[in-house]
Amino acid sequence: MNKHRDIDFFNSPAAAREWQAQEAAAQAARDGRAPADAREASYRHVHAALRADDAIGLPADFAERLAASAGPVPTAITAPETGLEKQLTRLLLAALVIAGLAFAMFEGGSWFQADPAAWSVAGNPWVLALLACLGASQGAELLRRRMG
Amino acid sequence: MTDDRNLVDAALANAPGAFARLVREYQGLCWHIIQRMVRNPEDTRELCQDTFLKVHQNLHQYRYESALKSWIGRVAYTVALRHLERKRIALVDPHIGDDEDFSLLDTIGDGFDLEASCADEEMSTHLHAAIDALPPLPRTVLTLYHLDELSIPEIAQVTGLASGTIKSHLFRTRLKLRETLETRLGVMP
Repeated sequence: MNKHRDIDFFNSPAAAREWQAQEAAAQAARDGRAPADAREASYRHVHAALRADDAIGLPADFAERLAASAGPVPTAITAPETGLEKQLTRLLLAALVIAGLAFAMFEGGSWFQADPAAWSVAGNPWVLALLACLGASQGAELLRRRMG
Repeated sequence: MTDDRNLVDAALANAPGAFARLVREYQGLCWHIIQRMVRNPEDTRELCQDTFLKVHQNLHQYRYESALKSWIGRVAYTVALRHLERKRIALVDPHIGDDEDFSLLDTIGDGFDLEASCADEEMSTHLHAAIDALPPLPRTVLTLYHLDELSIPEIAQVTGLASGTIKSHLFRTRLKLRETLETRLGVMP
C-alpha cells in the first residue's frame, strides 16, 4: 500500500529543521502566538486551511435514526456467531468426534479387554484431572460471558 | 478512558439513548475520516452509516486496549479503504519520492512574506484547491492530525501505518502544500 520510503530525520538536518518549523507553526496557531518567521507563517496558513473544512454533512437526527434502526446492541452472549474462525473450529471439532468414534468402534474392544480399569472414571486420576480442567475452563467462560 | 468505558458499558447494557450518544460523540471524526478519503458527500453519508452499523455489531469485541475514538476511527478508515479499493482509487501518489522531498527543501525560500503579497482569501482558495487535489491517504492523515488533533500514535492505530510513515506523510504533504502556495503566488524561482 505504501511505496514511500520513510524520511530519516536524524540523518537529514534540513528535513528535521523543516519538520520543526511545521510543528512550531501548528503550536503557535494553537497558542495564538504570532509566527516567528515567514516560513512558519506559510505553514500557519496550511494549518488554518486544514482546520477550516470541518463541516459535517450528516442529518441532525443521524445518531437517533441509526440507533433506532439498528436495534439492541448485541453483547457477547447475544451476538450471532460468525466468522471463518468459528466455522473452522466447528468443522475441526466435528472431524475429531467422527474420527474418535470411528477409532473407538474399530479399536475400542481390544483396549477395553486389555485394561478394563482404565475405563473407570473414579479409579483414574488422569481422567479426574482432565474433567476438572474442562470444568474450570467452561466455568471461567460462563463467568466471563455473564460479567461481560 | 473511563468515559469510553462508561459509554460502551451503557451501550452494551442497552441503556436508553446510550448508543445514539456514542454515535453523536464520534460521528464528526467518522465524517472527517471518510469524507477526506472518498471526497463524495453522498458516499460519505452511506459509509458513515455502514461504519456505525459495524460498530453496533462489534461493540462487544472492543477490549479497551485503545481509546474508543481510535477503535471507531479504525472501523471508519477500513470502511473507506474498502470503498476506494472497490473503485480502484490509489491511496497515495506513486510519483512522490525522497528525491523530491529534498529538492523542495532546496527550492523553497525562507524569507518570503506571504502576508504582504496577497490576501488571506486568495491564499485560502489556493490551499483548499491544493488540499482537494491530494491523494486520499495524505489528505486523511493531515486532517486527523490538524483538524481532529489526533497524535501520531493515535493515527497509527486508526490507519495501521507505522508512526514513521505517518510522520513522513505529514512532512511531505505540508512541504508540498507550502510549495504549492508559494509557487502559485509567484515566489518560487
